[in-house]
Amino acid sequence: MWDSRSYGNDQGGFFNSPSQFASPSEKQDKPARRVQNIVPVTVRQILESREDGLKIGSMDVHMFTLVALVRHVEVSSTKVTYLLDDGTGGITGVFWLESTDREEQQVIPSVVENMYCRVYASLRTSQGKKHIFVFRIMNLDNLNDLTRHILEVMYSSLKIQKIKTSEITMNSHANSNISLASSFMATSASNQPSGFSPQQNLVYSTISKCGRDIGAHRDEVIKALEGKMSAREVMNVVDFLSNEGHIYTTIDDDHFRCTDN
Amino acid sequence: MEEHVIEPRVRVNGGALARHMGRPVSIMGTVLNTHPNGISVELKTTDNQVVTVRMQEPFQEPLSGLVEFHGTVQGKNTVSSDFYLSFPPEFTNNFDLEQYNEAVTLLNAISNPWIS
Repeated sequence: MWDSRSYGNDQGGFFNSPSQFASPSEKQDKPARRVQNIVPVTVRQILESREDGLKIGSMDVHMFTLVALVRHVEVSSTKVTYLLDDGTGGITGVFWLESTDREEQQVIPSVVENMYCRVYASLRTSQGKKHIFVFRIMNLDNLNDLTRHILEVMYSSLKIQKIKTSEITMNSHANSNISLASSFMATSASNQPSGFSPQQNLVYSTISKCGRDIGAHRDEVIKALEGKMSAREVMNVVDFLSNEGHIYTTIDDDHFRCTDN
Repeated sequence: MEEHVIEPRVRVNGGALARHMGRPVSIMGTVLNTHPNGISVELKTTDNQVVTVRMQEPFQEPLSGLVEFHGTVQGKNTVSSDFYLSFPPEFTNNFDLEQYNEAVTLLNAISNPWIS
């Protein structure tokens, strides 16, 4: 029932309203959204990637950057082919030259053999063999860039793992919030953001239950919650919700409506 | 283009050599002195250890400054090398050796994409 992947859809209107938990479920609902990050990787990660494309942990990687030794350069009329070696393995990189009929010289990257260079590229597979489509290749101008890449690769890999585990804990956190909120509410469509204390939930849902355009009067809310919360407590919570932007005043300062209605 | 089979090498410093006996490595350091026979070099690694590097053939040119050697670990401070990369001074004059050393130490300590 509380399957973390589908609970957003099962709740009906719940996740259609702006909610701080929208992003993890959105990612799963929109698999077609292209990730635009450029991720620092090693050749080994590229070579070991599976058929469904380069992934680091669970994240799809489309563009990446490498720092590697250029072992071999081959220039042809249409492209320049590089053999790139970063210590974890070697891969071929192809840089396509712009076709030009005019006498303009084609700009060939000034990268020669036995030099470290930085590459921005994307993975391509042809005839079962992997190679990389080079967007840009340039000589490193400082050896500190090598140290930087070594560290960035390690960092990215760890960070992606961390995002994944924090998503999982966020999902399980949301699960427990929903069950808490539901246990307080009589209604089924609980349309409020989570993260509220039980008292805040009570006040919020009381205000949201009131169907009128002008909203609920402060006194009505106090009366409705008589016995559960004191008038002072209700007023404090109303002030808090109003400051946070969850409710707003309508015809006068004493009538409130929920922002999420 | 002919198939170049590139074997994975681990980036090491002086202290990490002992852990990679017989395995292919990359080691960077500054040249302390070259042996008169032209095939052996003493290298000060980024963790301030002295390592002897033996080449297959005598050096074509005098080596100095920061050099990276690719080779196989023969002993806890010996490497036999088949390839080296000498960097021009402008490339290395701002090089932070300590930071590089930390990166290499980290790389050898935790599981990461650089090592199998």
